[in-house]
Amino acid sequence: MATHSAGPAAPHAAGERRVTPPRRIPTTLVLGGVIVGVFVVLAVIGPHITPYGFDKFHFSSRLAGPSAEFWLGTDRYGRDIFSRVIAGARLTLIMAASGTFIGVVAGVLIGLVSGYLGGWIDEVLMRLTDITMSFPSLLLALLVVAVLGANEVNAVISIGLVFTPRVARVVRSATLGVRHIQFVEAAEVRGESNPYVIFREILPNVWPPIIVETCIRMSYAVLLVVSLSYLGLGAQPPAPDWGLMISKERAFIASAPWVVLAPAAAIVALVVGVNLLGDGMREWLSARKTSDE
Amino acid sequence: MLHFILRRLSLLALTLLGISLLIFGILQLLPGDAATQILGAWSERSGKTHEYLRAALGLDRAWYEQYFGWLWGVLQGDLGRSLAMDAPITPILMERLGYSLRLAVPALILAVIISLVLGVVAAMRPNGLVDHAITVLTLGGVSVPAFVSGAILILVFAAWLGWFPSTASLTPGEGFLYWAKMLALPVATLTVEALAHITRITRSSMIEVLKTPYVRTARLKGLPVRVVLFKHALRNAMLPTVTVIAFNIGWMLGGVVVVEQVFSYPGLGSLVLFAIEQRDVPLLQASMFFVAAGYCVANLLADIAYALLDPRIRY
Repeated sequence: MATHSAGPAAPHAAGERRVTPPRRIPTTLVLGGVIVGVFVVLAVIGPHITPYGFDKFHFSSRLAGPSAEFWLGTDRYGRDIFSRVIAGARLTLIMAASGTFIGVVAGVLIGLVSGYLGGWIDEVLMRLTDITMSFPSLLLALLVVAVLGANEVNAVISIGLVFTPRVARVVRSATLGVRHIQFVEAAEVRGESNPYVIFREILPNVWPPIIVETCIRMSYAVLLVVSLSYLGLGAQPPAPDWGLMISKERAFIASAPWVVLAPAAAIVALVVGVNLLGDGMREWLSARKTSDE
Repeated sequence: MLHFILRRLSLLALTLLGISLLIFGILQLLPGDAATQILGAWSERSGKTHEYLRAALGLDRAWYEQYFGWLWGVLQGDLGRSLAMDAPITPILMERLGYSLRLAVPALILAVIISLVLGVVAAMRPNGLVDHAITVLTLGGVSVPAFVSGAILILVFAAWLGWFPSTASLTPGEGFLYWAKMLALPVATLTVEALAHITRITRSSMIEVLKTPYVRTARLKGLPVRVVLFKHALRNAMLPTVTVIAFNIGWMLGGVVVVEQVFSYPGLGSLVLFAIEQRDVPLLQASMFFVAAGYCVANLLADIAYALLDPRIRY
């Protein structure tokens, strides 16, 4: 990282940025990385640093305001909101990341196969993605969770299912872009098998759009996770899920605003962080591409 | 044009068929059927009753008979019968649709107007102060889920200022002012949801259009900035925006579910949630199909609008 900032052309006025493609890492990427990094750290060490257990009741101080004892106040059972918000980071991140992972892996596979093989396989796969994509994403997720049952695992599955066709679309068009470049055709002429061409020749060349799409999906995944929990179709009580906290405690918003504001701030901070990371990643990858050429 | 619309219509019919099959297929995976649902705890012990009920509900038929029976009903405007409410679904759906539209249509109109203005203003001076402010705002907009912005609006405007009610419980037969007051917060929440995406895309396509020679010609001709921006440039910059607006209808339909939950508003979204809670399969099937169909129709309208705006496009 030090080598990048050492270049003489590093500081630029904002208006000039587009003229010389920056080789340095974009500010948005750094900022997003730091925010997401903080949440990842909280997710890993969270349970060890919280002052109380996330499900520990303190009946003598229910709906207490922020104080030295309870930094962000307590909810209606007297549970420490600070501890719950920290504990929720792990749950939200794991759920969002696994949903994204399922969607990206399945989508990449479908997109690669569809784009490379073409023909009737492509036709069938793309019509299927058309149909799944003609559902608004939250509703498809609701339908899947309704059938499978409301819990964390099924929420993750439904998010993966919602993402698959969208990722597949992106990967397919990227695959079509490299499909007829000579190194692919050279591999075909050598008589390499389809899996070899797909995974060793095409996949390494479609990474940038996959990474950008993964970042975009991750921010939607966080929103979907908390929305599903808010609707009662994700994590179940007493899990310290941010969406669930807001839905369960919203009746007390007038007398004890912190019960809603604390988890809300956590959600917004995380999604802003992931969005910045995605924007920065896109900027960085496209800048790298133009300066390589 | 007519040929194009007809082609798109037949494609729409095929998509709807696919959607109905998908919903039907997913719902077949539900453990237990409607008969078990009606009998509740008794279904274990009432073997004979269970069979009679299955036959009466037509559940003993093969899956394709059930599916085509349902489809035939839909074509005649009969979406089946709700188990939980014990009433025909079509009138319920129509009533709920009316409520949801009263929420979604003003929100969409507001979002489009505000975000076109914001997008154009931001594009006038890219990377200027105003542009940065709008970028930060829109980034915030895409990062805040509807139930958070709704909760904050409730906190400020209902709990603290007391201007609007915090729930949109409706009594029929009241005047416009009553409706406006009830709908203000939910509509505002939904508008914020849709605003950010449309602003972002308007801004970037406007920046591209403003670089083109014809815009410079119009300026050099001595036309006022306002005329050039809104009459010359915006028409072309609108093209990607139209697509995003259509996408947003889908995003908003999801948002509608959440917003209706936040404000306890009796629209289509809360009907879907009710159906899920009650495990009311016919109602779930019908309402899901209804919403997805509405989304497809919105997309079709957007495609037609696109073709009307841009005479170069003929698929």
